[in-house]
Amino acid sequence: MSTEKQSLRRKLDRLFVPLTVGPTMLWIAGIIVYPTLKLLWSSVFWTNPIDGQKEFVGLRNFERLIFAEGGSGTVFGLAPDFVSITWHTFVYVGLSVSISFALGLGIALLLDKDLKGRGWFRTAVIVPWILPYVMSGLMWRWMFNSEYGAINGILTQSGLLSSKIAFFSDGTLAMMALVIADIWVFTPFIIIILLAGLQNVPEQLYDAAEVDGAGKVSRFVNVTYPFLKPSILVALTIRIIFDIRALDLVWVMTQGGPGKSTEVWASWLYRTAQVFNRPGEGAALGVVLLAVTFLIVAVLYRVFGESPY
Amino acid sequence: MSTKQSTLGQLIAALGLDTENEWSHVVRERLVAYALLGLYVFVIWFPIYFIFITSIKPTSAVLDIPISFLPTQPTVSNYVEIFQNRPFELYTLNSLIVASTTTVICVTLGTVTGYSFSRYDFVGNKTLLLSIVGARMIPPIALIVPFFSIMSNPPLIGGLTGSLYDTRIALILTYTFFNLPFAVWIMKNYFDGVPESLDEQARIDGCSRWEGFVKIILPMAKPGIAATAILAFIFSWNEFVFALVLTSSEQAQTLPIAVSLFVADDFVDWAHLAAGGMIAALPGILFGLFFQQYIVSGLTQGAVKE
Amino acid sequence: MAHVELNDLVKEFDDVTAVDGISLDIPDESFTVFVGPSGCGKTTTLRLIAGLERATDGEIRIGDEVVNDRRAYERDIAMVFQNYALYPHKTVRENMRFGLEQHDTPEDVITERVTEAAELLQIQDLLERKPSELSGGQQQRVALGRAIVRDPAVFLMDEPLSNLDAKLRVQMRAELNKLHEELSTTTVYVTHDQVEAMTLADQIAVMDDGQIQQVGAPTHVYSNPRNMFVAGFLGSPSMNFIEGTLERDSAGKLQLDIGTETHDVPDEFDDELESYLGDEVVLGIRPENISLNQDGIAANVHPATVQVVEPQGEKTVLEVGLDTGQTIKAAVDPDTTVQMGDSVNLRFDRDSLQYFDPQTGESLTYESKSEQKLTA
Repeated sequence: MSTEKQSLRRKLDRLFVPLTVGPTMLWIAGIIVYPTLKLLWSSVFWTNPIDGQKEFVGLRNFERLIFAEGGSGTVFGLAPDFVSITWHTFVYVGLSVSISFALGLGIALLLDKDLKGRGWFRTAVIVPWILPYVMSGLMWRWMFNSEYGAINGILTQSGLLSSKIAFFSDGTLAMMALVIADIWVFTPFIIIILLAGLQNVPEQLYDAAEVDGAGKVSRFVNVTYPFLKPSILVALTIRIIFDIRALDLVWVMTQGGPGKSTEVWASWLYRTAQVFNRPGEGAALGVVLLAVTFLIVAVLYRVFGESPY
Repeated sequence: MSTKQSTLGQLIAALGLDTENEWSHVVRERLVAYALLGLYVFVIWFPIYFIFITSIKPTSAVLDIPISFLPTQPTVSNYVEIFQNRPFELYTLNSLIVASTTTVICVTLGTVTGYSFSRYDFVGNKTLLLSIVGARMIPPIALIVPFFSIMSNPPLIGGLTGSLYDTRIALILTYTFFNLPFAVWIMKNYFDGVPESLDEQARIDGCSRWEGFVKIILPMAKPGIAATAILAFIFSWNEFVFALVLTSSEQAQTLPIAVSLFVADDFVDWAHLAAGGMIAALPGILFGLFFQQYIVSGLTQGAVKE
Repeated sequence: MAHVELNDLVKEFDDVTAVDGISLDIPDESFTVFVGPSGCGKTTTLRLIAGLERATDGEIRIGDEVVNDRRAYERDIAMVFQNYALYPHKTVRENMRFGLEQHDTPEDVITERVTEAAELLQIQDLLERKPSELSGGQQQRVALGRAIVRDPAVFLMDEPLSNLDAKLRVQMRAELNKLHEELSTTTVYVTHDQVEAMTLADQIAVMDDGQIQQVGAPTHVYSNPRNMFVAGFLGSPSMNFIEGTLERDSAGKLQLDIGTETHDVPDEFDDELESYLGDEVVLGIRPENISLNQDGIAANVHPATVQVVEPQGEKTVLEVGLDTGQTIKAAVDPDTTVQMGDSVNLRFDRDSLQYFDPQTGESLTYESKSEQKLTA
């Protein structure tokens, strides 16, 4: 090999890391860092809806949304909308995540058994998560349809109910429908992550525990759980932060209705920014959502993260 | 009676329930597991079945009472009509272009960058990697305001392109925002599982870094690349929020938007919506049925090693 | 073919010094084995020679050229990795060809070399298979074959046998010996297994703590360890160390007081040990140099109680408690009839005794013993 060729080759080798990492970093800077900075920037401006003029307003957007400055009917000084929407978000996320977690754990434990046809079950179980959320949301809206939906059909045609239920006319029932759709969509994700985690548990430990006379519960607590903990943490974290940002299901199923009874942060943000055309306040809500997300991750990792094993 | 019994016997044998007769509790446990899994699968597939039969009912039969749970007069007319009455071929094309371009960009950048993160301890390696993990946590919806304004009036390239609002380019650029960090992360974890001695052997065999990467590492990374590609494609194909914010006509609208357009204020065209929904769901169902292991491995690589 | 020379070689990782000033001459056609516990720096040394790591300081020569600044592929070496590092997507043939192709070797030479190497290693039938279709032993052969076809100046092997099961390891060890006989390519081999080191090497370098503790022919190093580390590391079961105080008996002869009894020091060590009179000294004796004294009382016999009897086939290892309370090991004739709890008298082979400084660990008798050997 000629020395000229060698030195060219060395030069190219030295460029390997810059050329493989650089473009991605530039891309990320342009498509993530810049918009995020712009978000912070936008959140302190107010845009006149008529002439599009921008005016610097400091933290007024935040104050208006959260404290409803000077408005009446505040709850502990907080804006009533902020309080009720936060509550809806909490209920929606809390119920969906906890129920789908319990369900997902149960199914994962069943799928971890040495069953014939396990692969088929796994495939069948995963599919809902891969479908477009919009399609899933509309599908459930159809399922819960007050006249022609399958659920009302089953309940009335089997004689269980004499009259049909208008699910989307009642705040609680609408929220229930949303939660069911959410569980339907996201449980597969929990199953996948936990099933992968279960594969890390050494088989011998189960045998050892059985020899030690440990019962099923004790085996789960002492053998399965410690190995599953990192997966649980990941599944819960991703599940929660994806749920508080999720707009698709809410928007196609209820649009936050009836009234504002299923309005959550994501739909509020979208409505504020796009429907009401108040980009400053939409950005302010985005900042809040961003902060809450990072807070949740930090708390979850603090609670679960420092494990003794 | 006897035939029935033998059929049952065959079923039990097929499920492996007859093997360890003395372990009756094992058999019972398996039966319970099958029953529970079967019930679960039935319940979660029922809505898919219901929307499917809705899509193949004659348009008028969708609103029949009592509801028919069997497709009595199956027809493809709903599918045909959505292509005739609405530009579904354009929506499908938009979805295909946006999802595949996003996938190509993310997989290409994700693979090379993931490899460098896995192998080279360059300055800022840890910080940059951490920022990529952090970027994955940013809720996309939080950024609809800046993305809307950036795409309407793009900086730097604005003079050349004008507004990117209602273009596929806007969607592609936006979708890389949540898919690229994910792709880098999956590929980095994938390469972490490829022994470094293979890189070293390649160096000894006379490969430069580039040659070693292209000739040795890349061919081995196919499963990881496939997993990343499938997930990026599905995420982009299914995306709704930014499509809602950044598009307004069939020149860029994708299938999820097209399906949602069947919902009018006071009326939903369920029969055609169901047909459109099935088309939008098709890639997901196919990927799920045939490439399940890639989806699982991609998600696991991407999530568990956090 | 080439000799390899390391001069004051240093490798630092962040704040850890993995290789701490190594100098060694690896003669042409030699089979040199670096042996030592894990973390001793032996693998790093090998990787420095390979060009997979850059030396922090010092010099590496292959042939007569300094290769510090050369890349791995410019060093004319071939390496066999612990996990074999076979390219999984290439067949055996493609694996063996790849390095040659990268070095722009003419096609007819490639074909010829691959055929020859495959014959030599008896892997002709495996050439079209993928590595995943091979057993561990077969993969090992392919990895060797890939190194052989390159016909390099130096073979570098990093624990190549450690992933094989015990039986296969012994078999491959013999084959490696045969192969080196046939090819005579300078080989640098790293292992933590002292048996492997002893059987393969014609030069052994015992490493600890980033430094070479001793270099030499395996048998020489075995019987003349320079310090307690080398003495203890080589040999299984390892050398017994008995601490005592050096004193003179009434006749003026040197003896070691080991607590409840004394042990006469052979006269030949008088000069070396004299200056340690009154100090602590460690006596080293290998288990196989201890025998059971059946003939009643004689001089320099140590009474002991058998605690464990461990028959190993070709020998029986006894764990015996001296009257001082210390437990030592003795490897004795497998026909022995002693049982647990028996009282025995131990006789130490007086030609095999070694003495060490307990503070520095250095052998006090190394010089005199080596000289003895040379003159004899």
